[in-house]
Amino acid sequence: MPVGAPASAPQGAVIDDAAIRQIEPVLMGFAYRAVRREDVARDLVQETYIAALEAKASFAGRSTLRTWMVGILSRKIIDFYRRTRREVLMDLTPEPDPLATLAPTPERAPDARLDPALAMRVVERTLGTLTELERMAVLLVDVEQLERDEAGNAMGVQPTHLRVLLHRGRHKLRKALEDAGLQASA
Amino acid sequence: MLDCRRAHESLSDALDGALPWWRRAWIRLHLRVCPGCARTERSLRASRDVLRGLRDAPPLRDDDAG
Repeated sequence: MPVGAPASAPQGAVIDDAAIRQIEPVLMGFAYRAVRREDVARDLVQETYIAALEAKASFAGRSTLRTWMVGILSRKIIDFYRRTRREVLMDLTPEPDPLATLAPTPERAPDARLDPALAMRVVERTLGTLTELERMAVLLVDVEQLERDEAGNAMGVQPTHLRVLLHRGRHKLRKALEDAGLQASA
Repeated sequence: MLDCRRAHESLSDALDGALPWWRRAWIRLHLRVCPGCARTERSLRASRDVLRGLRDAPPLRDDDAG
């Protein structure tokens, strides 16, 4: 399936303007986190609406509509990455020293806790430092909570590639939280 | 160290339930005897929880992410 083409839509409820308006903040948030530019995010969301309306007029329900539209948006984002050519999409080169980012977590004070607001800020900032594909993998699987096969399809990558992207992205985020002094309690 | 490396390579898969049962059992055993890997696993799980919390939250813009 070419990148940017919507997958076949689930059958059921109708896409209408109200449903789309309701989902707009979700799509804008996802797109902004992925591309880090407001203007580009807005364009990609617009393209997603057009693709969705052209693809099918029926959906199974609200959560399915979200998942379906996030899938379309993801293909638009991957297409944008390809156009701007900032990353070789099939790059599976291992990190120079895999253990450097995977080093066991050092001991910390046992009462250190994750402060939710601070942890969220650290994660948002660190998301911006991941490679584009690592970020997309984390956004789809951990933020949107798609299954791995759904995420792989949306990104147009093989399961083994997605696995590597998730592994790298998640450990970078984990390390950023630890470096900020935020440690999960036992 | 080799065991820790193997464990680290599997922790992300374990989060998604993407490991066969024998690998899951081995990881569980390793985490019981290795405090470093157990802490890493907890941190990884905690950072995933933070990410899940972003699902319906508006994104912080780069200029206010601090």
